[in-house]
Amino acid sequence: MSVSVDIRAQVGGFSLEAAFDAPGSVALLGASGAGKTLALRALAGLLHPHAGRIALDGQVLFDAAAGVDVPTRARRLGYVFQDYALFPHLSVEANIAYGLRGRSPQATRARVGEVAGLLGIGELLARRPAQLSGGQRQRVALGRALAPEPDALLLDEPFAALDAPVRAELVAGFRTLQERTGVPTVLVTHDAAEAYLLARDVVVLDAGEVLQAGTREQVFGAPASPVVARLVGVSNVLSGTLTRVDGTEALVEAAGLGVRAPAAGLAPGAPVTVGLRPGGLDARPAEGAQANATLAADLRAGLRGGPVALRLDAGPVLTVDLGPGSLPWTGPALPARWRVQARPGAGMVWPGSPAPSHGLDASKGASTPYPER
Amino acid sequence: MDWVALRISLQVALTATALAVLVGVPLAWALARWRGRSREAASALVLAPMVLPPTVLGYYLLLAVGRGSWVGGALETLFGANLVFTWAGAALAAFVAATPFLVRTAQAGFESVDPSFAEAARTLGRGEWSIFFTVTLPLAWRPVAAGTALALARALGEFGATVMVAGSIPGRTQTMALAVYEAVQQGRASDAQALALTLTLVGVGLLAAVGIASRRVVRR
Repeated sequence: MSVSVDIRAQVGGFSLEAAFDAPGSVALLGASGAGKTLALRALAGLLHPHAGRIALDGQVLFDAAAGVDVPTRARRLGYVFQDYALFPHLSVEANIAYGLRGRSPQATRARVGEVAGLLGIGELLARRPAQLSGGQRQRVALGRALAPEPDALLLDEPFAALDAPVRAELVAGFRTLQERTGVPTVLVTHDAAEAYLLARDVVVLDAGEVLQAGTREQVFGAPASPVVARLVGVSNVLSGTLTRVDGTEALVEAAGLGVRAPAAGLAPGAPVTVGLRPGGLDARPAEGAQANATLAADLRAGLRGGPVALRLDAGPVLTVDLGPGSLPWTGPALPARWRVQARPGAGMVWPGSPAPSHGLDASKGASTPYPER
Repeated sequence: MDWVALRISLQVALTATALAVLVGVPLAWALARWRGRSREAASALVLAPMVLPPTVLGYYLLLAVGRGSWVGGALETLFGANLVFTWAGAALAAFVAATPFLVRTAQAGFESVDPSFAEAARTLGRGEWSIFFTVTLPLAWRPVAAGTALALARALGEFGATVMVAGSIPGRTQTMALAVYEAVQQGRASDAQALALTLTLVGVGLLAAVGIASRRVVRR
């Protein structure tokens, strides 16, 4: 599948200007209010841009200049709504069969059974949506969207309404579903991990604009700006100074940390912004002059390791992932003083001082170990 | 008790309500979906019969379908009869007076249905008519039923517009609401009492039906 979007839309006071080409399954990643749901609605024909063009696999769905606007019902796209929008007056079976009009009763029943088997909801067919748990509703919504064998599946934050343990299970389940059905997907999410796991291409949106688009490796590996970096899970963004350029590598000093990062046309002495993933930092308990940070908060989830917040003596608070190998520090109390270092090759550097980003609160980015929810 | 008046009342009110459903439900749906600027103006026009004195409404109807008007003239040429002073005229008056009650309640009902249900149905390949009958109406049937009961109650009780258009001819256009008035005028106390009691019971019964129907608007 390939999605090609180049649209301008005005909804209320919000203006969306989105242009991207994605050759494979794609995730639209952004904070709430970034315009990613609007872009998805435009793909489905639920929103009519005032200018631009949308094509799926070369088939034009919308072209303002040519006066093309294929109605939603003819676009052959499955859509999973954030709150699922299951028909409350219909059984699970009737919900899944809703898009199967025109087939014989036997064919309809067979297809519903097939989809229900695929999603493991065969036991629920007689129930009403009100009698289902959140995870069951999500699977019924997936089944309803998949039943008519759509050309692509559009999903608007399909995991956002779920509790954490159910969410992890269903994200994994969805990945299997993608492999088994082969249906191309367009996923809207604010969660970097979901985007990385479930898409080949990632489009990062903020305030109605595309900040970066590329394969997930390109976007996650080399975020184009600190704002993109925060959205793809680089939670530590610091201000620093370039001290030396060593061939293709830059040496940067930020809040007392020495960071090595690829030097892209930067000159020594320039103010830079440094990004470090929670896993790109190495932290060990330390004493005396060796220590450069104090424990601010222990955010680990039990014995599996996880992030801690460490306040550097120079001021900033860093989120550091101790990782599952962080035993023997999985006891009830962590030591107070730590030595924090940037792992080699883990740093990202952008020219200029960190600006208070639009759409994201800088202090929130530094103190939230994982993207919200 | 005057059984003829009861028969005329039912005939007039049921005809008026059936027309109100046929015209009012699509109108309510259209108003609920209308996003244009003139929506409020259209809404006010539809609801105007609720605020006009019934006699004024009747006066306008007379102007519209009376002998002198082109509508009345056309009807007379087509059917060889005029609506004025017939039970059909009474039904027309009751229809015009009752429809706004249905439209208002049903419109609120349609507006209370989450638009994402219709959007989901669209993504599943359904057209707008199919969506109306399989999603919107089933989800809004309670307010639509409540509005229908209100319209029926209003049609049964219609007096002012009816008397202007159809007069109060016993055995032809005299409904129960009109018969009460005549019974009181002529000092037939027991007749008036029986008629009043019957109309009261029917009205309270319809109100109870409205209450039951509107208890839960949308089940999710």
